[in-house]
Amino acid sequence: MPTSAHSNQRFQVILLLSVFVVATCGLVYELIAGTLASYLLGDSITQFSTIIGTYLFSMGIGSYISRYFEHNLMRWFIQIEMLVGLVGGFSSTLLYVLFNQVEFFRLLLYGSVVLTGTLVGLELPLLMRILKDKIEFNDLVSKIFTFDYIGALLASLVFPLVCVPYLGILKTSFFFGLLNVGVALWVCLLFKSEIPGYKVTFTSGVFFVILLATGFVLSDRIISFSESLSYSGKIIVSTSSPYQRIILTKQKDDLRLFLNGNLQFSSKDEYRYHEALVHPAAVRTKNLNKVLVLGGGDGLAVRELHKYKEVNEIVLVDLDAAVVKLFTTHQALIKLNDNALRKENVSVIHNDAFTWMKENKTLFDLIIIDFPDPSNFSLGKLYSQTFYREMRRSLHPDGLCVVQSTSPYFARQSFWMINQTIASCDYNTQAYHCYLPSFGEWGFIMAGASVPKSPVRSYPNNVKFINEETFQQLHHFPPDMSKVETGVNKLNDQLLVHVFEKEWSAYLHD
Amino acid sequence: MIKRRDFIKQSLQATGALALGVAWSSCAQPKKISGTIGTPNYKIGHMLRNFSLPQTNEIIKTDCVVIGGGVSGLAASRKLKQLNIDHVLLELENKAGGNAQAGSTSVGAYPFGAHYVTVPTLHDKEYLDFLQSCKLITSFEKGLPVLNDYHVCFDLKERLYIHGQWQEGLLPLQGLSKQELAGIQRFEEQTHYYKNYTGKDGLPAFTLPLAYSSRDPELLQLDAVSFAAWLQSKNIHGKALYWYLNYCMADDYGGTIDTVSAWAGLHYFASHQAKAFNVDEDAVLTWPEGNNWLVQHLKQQAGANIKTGQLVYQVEEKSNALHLRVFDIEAANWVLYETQHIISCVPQFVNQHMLQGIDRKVNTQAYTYAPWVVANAVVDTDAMHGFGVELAWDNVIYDNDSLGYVHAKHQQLAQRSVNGKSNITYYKPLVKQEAKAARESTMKTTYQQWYDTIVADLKIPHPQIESNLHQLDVWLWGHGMIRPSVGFINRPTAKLDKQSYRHRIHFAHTDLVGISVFEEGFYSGTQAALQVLQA
Repeated sequence: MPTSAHSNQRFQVILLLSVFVVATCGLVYELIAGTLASYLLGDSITQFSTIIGTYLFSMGIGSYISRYFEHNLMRWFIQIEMLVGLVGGFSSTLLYVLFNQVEFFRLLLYGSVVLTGTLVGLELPLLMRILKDKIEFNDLVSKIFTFDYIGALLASLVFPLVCVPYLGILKTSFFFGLLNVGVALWVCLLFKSEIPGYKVTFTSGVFFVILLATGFVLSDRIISFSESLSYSGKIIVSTSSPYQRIILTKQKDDLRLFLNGNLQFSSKDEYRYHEALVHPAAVRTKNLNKVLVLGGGDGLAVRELHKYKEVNEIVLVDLDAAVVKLFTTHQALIKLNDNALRKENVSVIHNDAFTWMKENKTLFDLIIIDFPDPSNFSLGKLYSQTFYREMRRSLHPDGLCVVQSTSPYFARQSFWMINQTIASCDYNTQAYHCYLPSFGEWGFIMAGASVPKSPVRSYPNNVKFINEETFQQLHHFPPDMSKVETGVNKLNDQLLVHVFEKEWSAYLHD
Repeated sequence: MIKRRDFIKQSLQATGALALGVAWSSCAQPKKISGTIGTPNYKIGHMLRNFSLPQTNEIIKTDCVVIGGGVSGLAASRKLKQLNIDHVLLELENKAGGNAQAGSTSVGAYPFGAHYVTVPTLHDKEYLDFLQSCKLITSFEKGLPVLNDYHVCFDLKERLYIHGQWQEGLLPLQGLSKQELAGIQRFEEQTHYYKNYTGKDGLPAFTLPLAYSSRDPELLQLDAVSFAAWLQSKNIHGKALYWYLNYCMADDYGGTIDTVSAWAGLHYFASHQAKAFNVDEDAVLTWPEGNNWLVQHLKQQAGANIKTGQLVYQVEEKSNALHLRVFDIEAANWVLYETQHIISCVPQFVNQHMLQGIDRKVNTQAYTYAPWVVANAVVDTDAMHGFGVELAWDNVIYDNDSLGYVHAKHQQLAQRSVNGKSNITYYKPLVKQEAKAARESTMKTTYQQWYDTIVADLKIPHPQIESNLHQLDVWLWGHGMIRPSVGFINRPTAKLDKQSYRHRIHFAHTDLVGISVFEEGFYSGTQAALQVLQA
């Protein structure tokens, strides 16, 4: 054991530095757990209170257990510090990835907090015992706690000001895990003579560093991996376009398309949606000659249109070339849409629907609108009075249009606002809805100068869901979805986006 | 045992080691940003003060010369054209447009100054005609204008960065005490009162153009006190409200509630009572290039008589004509204009030098102009969303000296792409210093210093802005706009200042009125043109 004054001083410095690092890292793990819990579970006051409470209590447990450690205190101290680094470093990633996967998330959350707290709680008593013969007791207590509290202050400042904005939560915990293990390794190296089995301890520390460093580097991929876990099926296509993230999953023979994480269809019941979208309007259109489809790059609405011999020309305007490419090249999807987009009478235009509509000079007999829901101001423009006025110019006087209009059950006000907005532009409207097992109740608005009561042609033979008898029932809205008075959605005052957000968040946050 | 000094040293080493580690990991390489710094042509403008008497090579005769190609000058020229009066417009800069200049980047156009107009009142028939001619008013329904939907600012119009996130609207509402909310309510009651108030002369208390506002002495008294003093007298208090009011005064007047008069302050809030058939009273018309869109239409209607890069050095009154000695900057050539009329559409401090030989007394000391800094940044659009409500047209940062930024591509119809870029235009009137001192220090500040200031402001809501910033161009306005200081609008000489000189030299500029908005410039220019006709 070094005895000279100089080496004794160095000894103290090193150990006190590790107190400092332990304290900083300890508090950072606590803050990470609190932040992650508020982020994932909401209600930050409850989350932070319970996390802090549990953490402090666990430190008490650790302090209590410390009495059972009797020999090789230095080795224990180093091993525990390495373990703190490993557990703390990985806990946030583990929690993040497992959030959607496990039923017992809270148990996992508090379990990791208890484990980290206990380990951190062990360290101070052990260190005090290591140092008790080297430093006078008064001095020892004063120094250890001073460093402990300074470390806590630093953590509480660095975490919100530097870590979260610049590193993000996952990288932050890996970073502090690395710091923990790094200091432990350093101490281990300096005091190797005092540590029995030093090599094993040191090697495991190096291994931990490699693990944590890998985690740090890969944390972005871990996030995207964890997102992929939230899809129930196997991901068979995953690609990004300039506009959205496109994911196709397969579970048994069910294909599901997700755009930016939102389900677009399930191959099991999409026929209900697309038949309801297309046919009631198609059979009412006087001259079903030229048809325009806006959105709907999946070709499924176009597939339904091919069931009419009268249709001479189909123009599909979809912003995202990547979606169309997927649905014209992927075998399973071509099978699903019956290669609808490759048929001769279909022309595909990649352009923004609003911009295109504003410039368009061609008249269409039927316009089918299959846009994403109005979840932001950018999409909300496509449901505005101005848009429907522009559409009017592209619609043959005898023509009809039909608009997918979100769910009249989950977003009742939004649904009827779309109806009212269309009606305010000098259209007659007919609202209807149908049930989709994978979505719930879904709504559509049919509109035109007038909407014929009965069909002018018969429904195609090869449909599975819709016929006139069914359609007549779909007009009926039970009291919990029945018509409500709303304002209209305008470009400069997008009531719809506000209402839509409010209505859906009420369901999503339950 | 450790000594106290060692203890401190050790603590510093310990904290230092950790801080260094964190700093190292968060410190990215600074990126080189390209950009320029520009100002109006003030150097040539200053020649007005110290040229020797020019040689004249060429003589041009015309019925009327319009001096200054800002909104007033262009409106005058537009009206003269309609009246078939032969005229020339002389502009110092190489582009007409005045405060409504625009620039462009690889991403598109952006404003370097004024960028919106409010719902038009029905007073100024000429202005309504103009708006109709550029299809901003599409029709009239029940006597109210129908505004063109594509140019009315889309939702989301405004957002405020406060308490670490973006809220909708600019008036802070969250976390206010009962007293503060009561203050806001009292203020709203007052503005509501004045919105509907008619003076004894039967005219509305506050409207645009100012010429149609009531001259009721009781109302004009409001010009004699500062807005702040008036608020005190009405027992209206509250930090958040005061911040908001100061923001508004800086935005429209380049002033503060302490420097601007209560009349001007109330005008800002109470004059928005104009109704349109299809939009709310507080709607605005806006374009990617700002009011330069309107300027282009004015120019088109003014015809081919606009000459840029022309320094009017001196105006002399001869027995049968007015003589203007003009330096053509591009051709480096002196020209003599002989004309019957002049419409001078320049600020009064310029008139003071230009019209030295003319017996016209204007106390230019009473005129204060706020200096402004405007900067346009090319940024990654997605990086501008941040926490809270999504990117709006006008994005303001609470308790910050800047006015935040305007998103130039807000009126685009198309869906945004993920890796798209946008122009955002940052505004900062220098309201804190006395105007002249602020102007002088502004002109000395380097590009790098402006860059640092602007980025520091933008970093408040967008900590990572520097890694999403591709270009930053800075523009300095030494005399940004007239400030309606206490007593200015109702100054005893207000009428005299506007008066034509011997029915030959007419004056049009927003500084004569005290409020620098498009409608005023348009009105004063048009009126001056009509005076030429009457003379």
